[in-house]
Amino acid sequence: MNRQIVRALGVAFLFALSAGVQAQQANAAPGNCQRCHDAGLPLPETHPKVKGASIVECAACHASQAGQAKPYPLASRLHRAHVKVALDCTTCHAYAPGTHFAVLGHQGNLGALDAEQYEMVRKAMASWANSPWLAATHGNKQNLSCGACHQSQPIPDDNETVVNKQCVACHGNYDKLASLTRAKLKNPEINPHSSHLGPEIACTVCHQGHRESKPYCLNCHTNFEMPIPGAAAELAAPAAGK
Amino acid sequence: MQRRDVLKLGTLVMLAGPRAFAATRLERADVIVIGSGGAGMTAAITVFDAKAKVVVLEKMPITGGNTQLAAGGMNAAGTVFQEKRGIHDSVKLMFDDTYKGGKYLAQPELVEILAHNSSSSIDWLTALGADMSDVGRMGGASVNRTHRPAGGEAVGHHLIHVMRQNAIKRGMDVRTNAKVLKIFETPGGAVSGVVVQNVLGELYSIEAPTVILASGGFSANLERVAKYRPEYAGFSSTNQPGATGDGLDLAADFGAKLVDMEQIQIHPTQAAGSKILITEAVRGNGAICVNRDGKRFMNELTTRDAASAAILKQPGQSAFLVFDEGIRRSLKQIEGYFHLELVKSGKTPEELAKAIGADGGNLAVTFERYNKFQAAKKDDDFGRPDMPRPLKDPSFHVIEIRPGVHYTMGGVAIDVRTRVLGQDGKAIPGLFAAGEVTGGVHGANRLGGNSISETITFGRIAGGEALQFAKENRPF
Repeated sequence: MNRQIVRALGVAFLFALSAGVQAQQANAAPGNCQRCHDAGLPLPETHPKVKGASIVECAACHASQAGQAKPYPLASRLHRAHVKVALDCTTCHAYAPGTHFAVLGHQGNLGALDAEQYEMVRKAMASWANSPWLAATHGNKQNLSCGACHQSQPIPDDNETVVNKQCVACHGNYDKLASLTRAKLKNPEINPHSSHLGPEIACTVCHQGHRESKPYCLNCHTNFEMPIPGAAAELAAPAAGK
Repeated sequence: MQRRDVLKLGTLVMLAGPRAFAATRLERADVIVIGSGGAGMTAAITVFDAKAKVVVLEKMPITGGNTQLAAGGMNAAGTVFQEKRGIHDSVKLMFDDTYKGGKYLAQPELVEILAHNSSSSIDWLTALGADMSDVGRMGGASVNRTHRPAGGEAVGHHLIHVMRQNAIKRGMDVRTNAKVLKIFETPGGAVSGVVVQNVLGELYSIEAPTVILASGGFSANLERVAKYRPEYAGFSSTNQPGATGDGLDLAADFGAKLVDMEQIQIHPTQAAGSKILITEAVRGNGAICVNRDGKRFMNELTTRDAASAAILKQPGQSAFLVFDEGIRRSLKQIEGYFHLELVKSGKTPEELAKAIGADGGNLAVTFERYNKFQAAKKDDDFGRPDMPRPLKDPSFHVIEIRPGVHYTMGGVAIDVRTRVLGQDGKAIPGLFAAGEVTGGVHGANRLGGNSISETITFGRIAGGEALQFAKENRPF
């Protein structure tokens, strides 16, 4: 009996959520690019005038290309520009928890995300567009999209194998990094890329894309001065009016 | 466990036990090993090489546990390396040293297992590619039986590297960032699997008839340490941050009996304001210990517990290890303390005293007096038995030290087959344990070199026993 109650509650919850999504869509004219961009919202100078009424038409140019940032990757340009101004996913996407996630006006289903996974993706996207963390450095400075680090595996395994492999592919192995780091060290004997923890440890032990990075060394060597990129703890608030 | 996890876990368990996870992700294994230090990796390699499916779950982002910090060595009796050096040792002698060192509180049958299997554990490591060919001695041993790599590499660093490479070579399933939140049981009270929290905070489950707990001690959990030993409140720990004793909770939730929990080892010489352990060899090679007044206050070579107690009686509950260039040159590890910026120096005793805020005149007198005892080979003040070097070669150096929580002798009760015992003293079906998470091997005090020895020997036994149990009790 307990199980039936829980299931009934779950279904009610799903209905409530999707009703909420529908209400939101009606208010924000979701999926209609013209509405916002004709009303004076800026686009890059070189961008042609928005003609289409639907996000589907934008995707003709802004096609997603896994792992690539050129020429007009959906993730790097279109996504980041919108996430940067704190638009919710449902501005352009249809979402029903646990069953349906799609581009508005488009037939295809991109996958089934439960509410928690949806929130995880939303936060990951937000930190990639707007954060003091490495995802934003890779996105904003290098114009890299999700696939550059995650390849075709959006949800990492426990060892974050794919992401770590990509770190090494672009940045080099610990030997190379140790020699690069050495030049910047106050004390050349203390090199985080050549430590007693061994060459097998993952880059993500210290360097994080979607949250603050912290040198693992500091857990024990509390007196080390060891600056690391992306160390700020707080998610920066989106710049107002931009 | 975070409150959110508990709620979520509670809901899932309430729904349908482990099967509630089947919709998202359910895996199966013969043996699950919790922890990837020496004991866990040894057990896992043993299982893997018998062609069974084993998954190692490590909650920290790196493997190696506290083993990778071990600097001393591995005690073993009757080994090929002792024989080559003409060292006469025996299982009986290692048993006697260990049992006596632990103040006769250990379970004799577990001490017997430790001593009896130690030599074959050295062979096992050698076959794995480890170099344990050098033999030295640590406190409480009657003969040289502490095995370590030739060439001065720290033993734990070496062993974990060898184990990681073996795991990589074999393609073993070793997962970091994977924290076990619960061990599931069958209606009959046997192990049926675990719930794991992954790197994203999501939960998944693995079904398995056996779990080997190799999750280490709780020296880094200072709250828990103070619960058992209130007098250690405010101490810091020499351990890696993951040594919090979560495995003890998993076992206790399953009905396991915990023994000797109040037996906690304090190491007298942790560098003040850090987690760095200053090896006993600094004193062994000649350093003296002074207080804030610049005066000696103990026989520097006394046991760990006596030295810790003496330091805690000094003003500020800390003291200073003092040495000269001669002692510095005699021990490679000291150079590391300079690299870590833990050392203060002065060209004269007076200058050194200034660096630590001690009385310069007192420190000069202390040097003079100690050097007189050293020349006469007799310490009239504290009866220090060995004074290998005088303090006369400037510059002079100090490291401020205070006692730190180092090792937890207590843990889950096991039998000689590493089966975890319940409150009723009976073995819990499918639950095994090895390494620092267990209690009863060391009693009231652990001898240096016995911890690594324990992880390898009991890790091998746990691997073999779990394998056998899994073969007989596969539910799928």
